[in-house]
Amino acid sequence: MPKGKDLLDLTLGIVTSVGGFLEIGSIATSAQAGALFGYQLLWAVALGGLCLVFLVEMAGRFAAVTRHTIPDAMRERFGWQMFVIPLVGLAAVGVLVLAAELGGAAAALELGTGIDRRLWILPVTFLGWLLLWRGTFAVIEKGVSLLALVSVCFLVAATVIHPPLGGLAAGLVPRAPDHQHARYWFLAVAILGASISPFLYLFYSAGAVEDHWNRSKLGANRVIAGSGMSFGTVLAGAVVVVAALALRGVDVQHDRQLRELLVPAFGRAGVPLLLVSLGIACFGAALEVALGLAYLVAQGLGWNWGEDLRPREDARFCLVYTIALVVGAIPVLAGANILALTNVSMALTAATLPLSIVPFLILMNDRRMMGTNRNGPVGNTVVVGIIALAVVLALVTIPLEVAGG
Amino acid sequence: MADHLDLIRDVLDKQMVDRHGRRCGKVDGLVLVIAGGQPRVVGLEIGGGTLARRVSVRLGRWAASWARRLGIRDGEPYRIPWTKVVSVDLEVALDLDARRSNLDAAERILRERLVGKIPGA
Repeated sequence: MPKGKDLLDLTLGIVTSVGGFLEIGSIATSAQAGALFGYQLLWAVALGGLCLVFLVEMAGRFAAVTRHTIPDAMRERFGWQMFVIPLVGLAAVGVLVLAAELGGAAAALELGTGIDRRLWILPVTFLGWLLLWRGTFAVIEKGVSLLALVSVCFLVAATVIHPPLGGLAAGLVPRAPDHQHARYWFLAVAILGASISPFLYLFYSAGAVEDHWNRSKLGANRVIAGSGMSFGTVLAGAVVVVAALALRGVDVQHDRQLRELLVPAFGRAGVPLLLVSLGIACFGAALEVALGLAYLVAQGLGWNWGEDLRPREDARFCLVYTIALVVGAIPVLAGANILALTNVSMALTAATLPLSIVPFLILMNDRRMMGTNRNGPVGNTVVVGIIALAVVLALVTIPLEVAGG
Repeated sequence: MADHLDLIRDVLDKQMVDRHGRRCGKVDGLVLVIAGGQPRVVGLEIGGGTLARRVSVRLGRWAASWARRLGIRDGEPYRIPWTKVVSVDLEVALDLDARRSNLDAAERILRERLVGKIPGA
């Protein structure tokens, strides 16, 4: 029987995974998909979620068995010359994703108050920086994710509107659309990129190392990864379902069109509920990505790192998230379209997945590092298959989207 | 220490910890001396310039000139004599205090000139 403390940790782990799941990427791509194609792209949400369940479980298992974070081990195993490729790739895409998250939070504030997002971005970025500067890992991970549980309202909304179950099931089977082929496949790629976020599992693994996980955590890890990520995926699916009703047939091009997403389910209360969910989810994700970038660089270069240290104890670590936040605020200040920024950063995430996942899979199969806890054929096959699909689709559709848009 | 070490696999790019168990960078380079036709490992090299040079020589020169301008060890990499290496295992343990050595020069300069001056640091 697990002790009370273990049970509490387990619950907290699941709850924070769920709360941290929805962000600008999953909300915006799912909403666009539901609006234009009804339930037809649910399969992409499900595939992305399945891949993420496996990757997050692997990241936790890796941390528990080797006590190493992933960037740390990648550099040690493959050497600097190879590590520098995922490092630069992840950092570049990460800053774009951060910009989209900060933009999502500022956009939610603009839609709620009428005050321009280019003004909101400054206090939003500063507050984010202040929380990282003064807060501890527990505050960032647990506190923000608990607040973000408000995003469960999407699931409530999707249930309230009674979607036809047959239609939902049919959406889980991939098929070619009857209109707008290029848009359909591009959105499939963006959905996969939004689900399979490298920062999500890098952050998870850094947390496991900070919490000193060992092999006794392997069971809990499986439960947290499995249920947390599956439930998070259900939330992303719920966004598709509510968008299919609220925005039916609309080609969503601007974030203000998302305002009505929860209205069919909750009436007028749907607008503030949506804005609060969007704002908190994006703000929380921005903190995670900024911190994830600092972890990535610090672990790869072997610096002293840890969100629980005072800034003077890890000055370079603090410098990385500070620079990331400042650079991330620039596209929003320059007036970038948040949805376009989100689509681009999610599609690029999908296209660059092999940079980080291929070396990670090699580590997970390494007998010397992982011993009997190394990957089995099922996990390898699922992850390789879904990543391969995401990359092929990305390489075909990104040029089409750029040429067409 | 094991009597057989694979320098690339076991030493290069490994995490280093100082006398107090504090993480203090990774082994960015190895210094070998060839004396009497025999190569001999004399130490470890640490620094952004060393890392940059491993990617390309030009990038290495550029990084070194920046380090010089910022006053980080005059743009020179930091060298740790092999005699300071206590053990090579999961980590490379060093018999020195990172905070009192020039190893942490970049961290210290950043702390003293910038980060330490911000309230709450």
